[in-house]
Amino acid sequence: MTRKPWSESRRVAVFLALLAVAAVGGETVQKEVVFQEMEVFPGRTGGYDNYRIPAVVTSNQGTLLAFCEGRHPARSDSWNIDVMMRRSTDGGKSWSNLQALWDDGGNWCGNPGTVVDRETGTIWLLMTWSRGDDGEAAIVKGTSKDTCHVFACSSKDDGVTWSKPAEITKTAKDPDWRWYATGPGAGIQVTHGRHKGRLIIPCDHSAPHGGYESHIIYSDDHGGTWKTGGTIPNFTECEVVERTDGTLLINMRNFDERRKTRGTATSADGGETWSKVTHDQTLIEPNCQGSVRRYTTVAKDGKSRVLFSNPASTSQRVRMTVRLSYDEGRTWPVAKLINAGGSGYSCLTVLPDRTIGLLYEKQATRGITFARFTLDWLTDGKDALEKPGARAGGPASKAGAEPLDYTIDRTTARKGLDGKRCFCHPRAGVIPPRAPGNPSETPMVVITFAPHSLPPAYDVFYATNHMRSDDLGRTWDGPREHPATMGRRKEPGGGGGRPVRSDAEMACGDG
Amino acid sequence: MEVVPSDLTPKWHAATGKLLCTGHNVRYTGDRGPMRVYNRETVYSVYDPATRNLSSWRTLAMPDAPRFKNAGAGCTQRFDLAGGDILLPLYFKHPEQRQYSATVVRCGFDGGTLTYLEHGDELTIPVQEGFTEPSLTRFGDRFYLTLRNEAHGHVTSGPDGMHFDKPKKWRFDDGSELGNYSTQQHWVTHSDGLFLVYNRRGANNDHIFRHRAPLFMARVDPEKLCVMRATERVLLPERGACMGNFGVTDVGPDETWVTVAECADTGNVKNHGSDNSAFVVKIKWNGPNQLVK
Repeated sequence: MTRKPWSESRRVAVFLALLAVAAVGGETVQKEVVFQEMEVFPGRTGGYDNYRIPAVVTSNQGTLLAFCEGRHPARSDSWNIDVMMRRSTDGGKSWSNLQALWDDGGNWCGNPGTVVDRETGTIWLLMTWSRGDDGEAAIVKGTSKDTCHVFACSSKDDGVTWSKPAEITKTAKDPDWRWYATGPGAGIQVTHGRHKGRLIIPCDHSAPHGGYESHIIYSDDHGGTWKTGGTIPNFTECEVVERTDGTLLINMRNFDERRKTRGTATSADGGETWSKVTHDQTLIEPNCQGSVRRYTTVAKDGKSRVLFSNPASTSQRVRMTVRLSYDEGRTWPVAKLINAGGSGYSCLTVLPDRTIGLLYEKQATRGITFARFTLDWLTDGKDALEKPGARAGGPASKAGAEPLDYTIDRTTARKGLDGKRCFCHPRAGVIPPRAPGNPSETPMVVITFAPHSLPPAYDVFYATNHMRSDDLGRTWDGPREHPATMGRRKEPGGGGGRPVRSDAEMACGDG
Repeated sequence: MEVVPSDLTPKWHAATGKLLCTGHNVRYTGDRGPMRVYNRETVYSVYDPATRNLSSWRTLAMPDAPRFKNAGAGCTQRFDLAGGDILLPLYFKHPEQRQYSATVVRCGFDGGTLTYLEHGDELTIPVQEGFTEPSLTRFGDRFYLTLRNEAHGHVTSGPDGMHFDKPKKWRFDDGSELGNYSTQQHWVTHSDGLFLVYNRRGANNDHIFRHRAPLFMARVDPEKLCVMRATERVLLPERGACMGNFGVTDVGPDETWVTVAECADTGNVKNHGSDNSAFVVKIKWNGPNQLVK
C-alpha cells in the first residue's frame, strides 16, 4: 500500500454546467445536466507541498466537509503530515478557509475516515498518528521507534469546531497489528436491522506475519466507544455500503498488486464477520483506494443505486471513473469518466439536492478536486431521479405505483394433529432487541395459541399455549400450556344464555 | 359455567416495555360449545420473558351499560399511540339486538392494568351479525379500520383512530367485490405501502369452510379504500383446511410475519394435505419499514 506524493504540478480548474431539454418517454421535460469541478486542496498552496487522502461527507445540515492530508515536502526520514479540512455550505461552489484540524509538529497525523451519526448529527473523524521519523515500511517491519495510534474527534456544530483527538487505540487496534489506516474515506451508519444506528469506519492494517488486512471498526453507542470488527486478509483500503437487505458489502483494494480486480465480501452481522471474498471482474484497479456509496433506495427513491469510484485502469492511476449499480453492487452497467489523467484516491458523497459529489486526487494539481454532477450527466440522460414528492409514502401517493416489493418465505413453527385438539389462532408478538426482558440483539418472538376441540363440538377452547423463538424462527420452544394463568375458570352462573347450536350462531363468537 | 380466554393478539407496548396480549373470553358449560354469548369481556395478559409465563388473565372494565356486557377484543389489531395510550378495537352487542357494533377504545396501560378511558364511534350495519373483529392501523396521517361482516368485509378510515367515515364494502380497484366474508382481515403496514391480508371466495376454493383459504395479501389504495387486484399474492396456498384466524407482526424493519394455523375442525381436511400446521409467513421487504424502530 505505497503512498507517494504527486510527481508533477499543474493546476486545472474546470467548470461546466449545461442545461438541456430532452425528450424522455415521449414527454418533453427539462432536464438539468450538470458537471462541475473545483479544486479544493490545490497542491503547493497553504504552506503544503501537496494534498492527498481525501474524505468527504455531507452533514445533516447539508454541509460538505472535506478532509485530507496536508503534506509538507517529504524527506527520506521524515513525514510531516497534518489533517486538513474545508467546509462548504453551498454545495461545493465555495469553501471555507483551509484549516489544519490536527498538526502535531513533525509527526504524521493522517488517514481521515469520517462518518455522520444521522441520529445525533455529530460528525466523527477518525485518524491515525505515527512519528514523523517512522515511515510506513519501518512500522510494518517492526523496526520503527513507535507504531500507529488511532484517534477520534468529533464535531457537534456542523464541523465548525472539533473536539481534541482522543486516542482509541486500545479498543480499535489489535496489539499485534502494526501499520494502521482509518478510512481513508467515509464510513456509514447502519440504517436498519438489529445493528441499526451502528457507526462503521472502514480500515486496514498490516498483519503481524506479513501482508495487509482490511477490517472495520464500529461504534454502537454513537461514537462513545469503538470496537474492531471482522478482518479480511490480503486486502487493504476499503469502503462499505449497506444493502437494502441489511447486509454490508465491503469493497477492497488488493494487497497483492498482481490482482487487478477489486475484492468484495458481505457481512450479515454488521461487519463482525465477513463472507468469502469474490473479485468483481468489472471493477478493475491499478492497486489503489476506491469509494463505494449508497445513492438511492427502492423504498425512498424508487430504484436502488450504488456508486463506485476509482482509477479504472489495471496499469496506472489514471482514468478516474464513477460507476453505477442498480442491483446492490452486483453489476455495474454505467461507467463515466471523470478525469482521464492521473487520478488517485477518491471519496463519494450525496448532496442534499441529490447531486453526486466526488472528492478525488488529481495528479495534475498535486492536490484534491471536488466534482459535482447529476445522475443525468452520469448516465448520459438515460436515468433520472423521480421528482420530489413523486413517491410520498403516505396516503396521498398513488397506490400500486410504488416499487415497494417483498418476497415470501413460508416456514412452519409446529404441525401435527393429535386427534383431540386443534391448535388455532396463532398470533405473534415481538420483544425488540435490547428491550426490557430481551438483552439480545435479536427480536424475541412469542406466539400465543388457542387450542380448541375437534368436531362435533364447536369452538371449545382450552388454556392458552405459547411458543417462543429467540432466533427469528429457526427454532421454537413450546408449545407450553398455561392452565393456571390462562386456563378455564369456574363461574357460579352469571354467563347466562345457552350453548351455541348452529353454525350461524357461532359465526361471531370466536373467530 | 366455565370461562376461558381466546382469540388473543400479543403486541409489544413500548411505553411500559411489556408484551401485552389482548383478546376476549368464551363461556361454556362443559365441552358443549360456547354459550350464546351475551356476557363477554375483553381479556388481557402480560408475557414475562424471564419465566416464559403469561400473567393471570384479567378483564377490561367497560362502562356500565347493557351493550357492553358483551364486549370483546378478540382477533383485533390494536394501535399504540406515542404517549402510551392504546387504541384497542373491539366489538359489542346489546343482548336484545342481533347486530354487533365495532368501536375503538382508548385505553391506558401502566404495565399491569388496562383501563378504559373513552371510546369512539359505534359502527354497525343491519346485515347479519353487524361488524365484528375490527383491526386498526395508521398509514401516513390517517387511521384505517377493517371490519368483519358475515356477508361482506368492510373498511373505513378516519383522522384520529376513534372516529371514522361510513364503512364500505371491501372491493377490488376494478369495482368488483373482494369476496371476503365471515372472517377477519388484518393490516400489514409498511411505511411505503398499506396492505391487507384476507381470505376470499372465487379462488377455486369452494371446498374450504367459508372460503378461509388460501390466505391472500394485496396492496390497498389508501385513498379509494380498495384492494389493488394486480398486487394480490397468495401468502399461503390452501391444503383443505381453513386459515382464517391469523395475526400480523412486525418483527423488524425488514420483515413482517403473518402467522396462521390450519384449522382442522371442519370436514375431511386431511385429504387435502393439511395437518394443523402453524405457519410463519415471513414477508421480507426490499426496503426498510420506517415504522418499525
